[in-house]
Amino acid sequence: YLKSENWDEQRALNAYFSGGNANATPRSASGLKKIFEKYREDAKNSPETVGVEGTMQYLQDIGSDIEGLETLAVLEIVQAPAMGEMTLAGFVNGWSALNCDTLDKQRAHIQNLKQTLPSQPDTFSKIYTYTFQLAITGQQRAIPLEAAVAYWELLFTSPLSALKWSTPSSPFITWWIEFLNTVWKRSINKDIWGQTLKFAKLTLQDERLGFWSEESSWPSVIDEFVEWVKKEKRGEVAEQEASEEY
Amino acid sequence: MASGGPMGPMPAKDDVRATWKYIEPGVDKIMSGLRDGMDMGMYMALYTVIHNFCTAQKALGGSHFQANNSRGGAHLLGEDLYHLLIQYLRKHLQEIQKKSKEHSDEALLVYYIKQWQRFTTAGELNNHLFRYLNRHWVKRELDEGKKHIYDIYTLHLVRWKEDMFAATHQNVMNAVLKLVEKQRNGETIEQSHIKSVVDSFVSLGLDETDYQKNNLDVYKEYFERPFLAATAEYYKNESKQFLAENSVVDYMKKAEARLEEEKQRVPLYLLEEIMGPLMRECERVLIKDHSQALREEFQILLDNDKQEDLGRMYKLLARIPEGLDPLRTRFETHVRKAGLAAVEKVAQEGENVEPRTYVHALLDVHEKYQDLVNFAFNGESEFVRSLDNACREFVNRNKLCRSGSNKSPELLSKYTDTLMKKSNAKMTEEDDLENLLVQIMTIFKYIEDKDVFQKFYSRALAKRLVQTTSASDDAETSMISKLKEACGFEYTNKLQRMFQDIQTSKDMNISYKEHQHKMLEDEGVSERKGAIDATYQILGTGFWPLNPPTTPFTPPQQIVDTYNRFIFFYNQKHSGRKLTWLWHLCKGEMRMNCAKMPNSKVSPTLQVSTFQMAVLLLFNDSETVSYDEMVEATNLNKEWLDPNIAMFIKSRVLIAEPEGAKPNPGTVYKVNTAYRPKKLKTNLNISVQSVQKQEAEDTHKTIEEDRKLLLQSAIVRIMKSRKKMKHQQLVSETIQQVKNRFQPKVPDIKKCIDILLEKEYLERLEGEEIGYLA
Repeated sequence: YLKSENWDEQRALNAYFSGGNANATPRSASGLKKIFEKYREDAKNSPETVGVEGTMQYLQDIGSDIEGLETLAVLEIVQAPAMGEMTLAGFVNGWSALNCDTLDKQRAHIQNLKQTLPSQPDTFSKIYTYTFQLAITGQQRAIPLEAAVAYWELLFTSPLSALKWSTPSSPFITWWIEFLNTVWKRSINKDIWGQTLKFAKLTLQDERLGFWSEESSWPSVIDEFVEWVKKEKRGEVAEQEASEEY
Repeated sequence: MASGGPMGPMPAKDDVRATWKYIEPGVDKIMSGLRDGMDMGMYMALYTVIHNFCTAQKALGGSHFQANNSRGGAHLLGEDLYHLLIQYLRKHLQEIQKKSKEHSDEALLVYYIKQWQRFTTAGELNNHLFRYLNRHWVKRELDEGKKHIYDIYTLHLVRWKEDMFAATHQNVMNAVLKLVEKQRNGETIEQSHIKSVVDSFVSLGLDETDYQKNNLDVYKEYFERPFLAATAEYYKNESKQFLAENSVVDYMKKAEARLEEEKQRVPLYLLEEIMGPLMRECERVLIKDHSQALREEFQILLDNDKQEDLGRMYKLLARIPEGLDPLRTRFETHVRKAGLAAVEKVAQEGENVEPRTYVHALLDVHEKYQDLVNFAFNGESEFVRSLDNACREFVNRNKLCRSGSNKSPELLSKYTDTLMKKSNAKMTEEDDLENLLVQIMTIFKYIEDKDVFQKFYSRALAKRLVQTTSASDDAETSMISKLKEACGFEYTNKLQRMFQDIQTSKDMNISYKEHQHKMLEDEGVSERKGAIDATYQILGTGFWPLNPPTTPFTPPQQIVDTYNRFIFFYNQKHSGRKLTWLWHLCKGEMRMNCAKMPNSKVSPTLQVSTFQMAVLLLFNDSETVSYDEMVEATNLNKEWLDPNIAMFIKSRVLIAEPEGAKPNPGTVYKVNTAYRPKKLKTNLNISVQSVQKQEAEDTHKTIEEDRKLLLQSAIVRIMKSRKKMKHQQLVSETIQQVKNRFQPKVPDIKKCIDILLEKEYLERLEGEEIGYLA
């Protein structure tokens, strides 16, 4: 038994070392491992995984609202392989990089995040990008539309969001979701996910969408959205129709 | 030598004054009295004096030279003589110039030319006379690089230019220009006067660095310039006045004539050199300054098909830079409008336009304006391009194409089909058919959606081949090779394979016939009784635009033996090949023994599809057959069975009971023994309208699918070779690659890029770049 325990510990350590984290020390690693094990459901069959239940409990314990943006931040820190799932390696590497080897420190970190997130666009981008990983299930290449919409709503409207996608005259996120549900009606692949963030950022700089052109490399969904917004929401006549002759 | 003759004794050889005094009367004689003759003795005396003077100076100079005093009297004295001559010439020329004022116009010209000729002749003589001065003093001066020292002849020219020409040239030119104007007005003039003046002016062009050479400076400045100015002025006035009183068409004739006239004028009395500038000047005044008026006339000429006048306008405007550009634009617009109008006219006859009418409407417009380009515009490539642009526009975007640009290729392909079908063959001779195919290719060239033509054409070809309705193998081959030439091997690959399949099938049928004959003999069955005369076509899967039947089918027992025999034969030859029967394309003939032709004992023959055959054969076993029995026996589904029953009812081969009953379970049918067709053979195998429509729709649908695949493979091909490139560039290269098949829309290309991104064939890189993932 001891032997297997020792071996296990060794593996955990190896895992974070191979993760290339210079800040981690063996001592903090073993502390983190202990925390991780506390939430582990099935020590025997999957000793390096925490499942949904454990993860929920853990999030609650460190004061992270499961419905809140900070949860996505936490899952990004521990590089959760899927929604509500954590791995030992990810957990140890993620937290030791932030020097948070106790629950208290982690709780404090989350508190701090809640304060700073709205003003950190880079962290937001990182969380946004990682969310796609969380949202796909199994071998899928795309997120079902319903799930994508839920994540977008959280990401773009949360009070903690660094990119609240709407302006006083143009509620983009509302339009976007309406458009997706009524016109697009298809799942969301990685490219669309990534380009949507880029697009959202630009719309906030130029809400008249002057940056957009048919020739630029936007995916079709965004091209169609722009035309939809112009026609349905702003009543602009499409140029081509007006210039048709005969 | 010693003899002074009438001149008196020779002066001392170093006395300048005396020497000049001795020479002057001689020079004077040369200058003004040459016509009275110059006696040889006098000439010799003068020559000797000058010789003596110069050589004496030389000897003297030589001694000075020895005394190391190179600045000898030879210089000074040679110079004196030279200047004395200049003084003399000046005086002489001033006199001539003064007298010139007494003359004007043509008389002045006569005077000027006469004086000029006299003076230059004298100059030549003097040059000879003063040879020693030339050889020694002048030469030395020149060797030392002195400016404004000339040999004696050149000195004459210089003096003429300064003392005579400078004050006279203007009057002379005025006279010349008056003369030319007279000629332009149609009068006869003495052209040689002008020619002499030109020669004189040219002679006065002395090169400053080497006066042995002539340049054209004087001529250009004092002749060409005023001449061009006067020409411009003359034609400016004339053209303005002419246009005010005459039509543009007449003006073009006038201008053409004037330009030719001016061109002829040059070799008569002008310097060849003036041709370029003169023509430019005339073109400017006669054409360029009126190009606006000409161009406005262009539209009118086009509207009235004035080929000859259009040709004249082309030739005129071609002479000025960029003269034709506005014409090309107008021409293009005009042709496009003509094409659109022609289509509009055709379209008035309703939605279902006759393909022939449509194609000929397009062809007529093209032919008319191609003739015009060849005849009036010299077949010039830029006009050909304008014609092509216009045709491409109205072929692809006209009233009938409004619903979609697919209409033109569809109609063109249908028209081709009607030409290629047997029924048409009687009307069309082989040669004519070939010409018609060439015409089709003319329109084909302009079609943007060539893939649509391909789809419809291959369907029609498949039908012609399967139903053996093709009029001529030669025509089919010719058309395929034309398409191949236009679009490449890939475009016609399947068409060619289809054609091959049919040829192979023909051979196969021959050898099968032999085989069958032998086999039946072996079985002891008489051929007439046991076998149905059948032909088979083996069509390669994937090459033919044909689909397996969309209904299950149980073939009638009567043909089972026949086709099983063939399957056996085929499998022996090619084991392992799977045959799929395309029952819906099979057909046969049946004799209706229970009925007779009117007033005859012959029974009518029905041409039927195999499905129809299966239905009709049921009546051999029973007087009446119910709908359910038909379904059970044939296994056909409703979509196929019902229209065929309807065909029987309509042609009155079968009668429904109760009468007028719909094809539903419960309805019973019986053979109409009172069937009396008008013709011996009746074709019941007519595809139903709705099926045809369905086919067209299907074709359009497969086109959309094929286009997506074509775009995707083009994108992958490009990215595979480039590895990464800008999004926009990728889009435009994709367009380049597929545009000979169809004109892709940018959003469609982007959708294909989306798909490839999702499939992870491509990835998005920084800065609008796309990368290729192997």
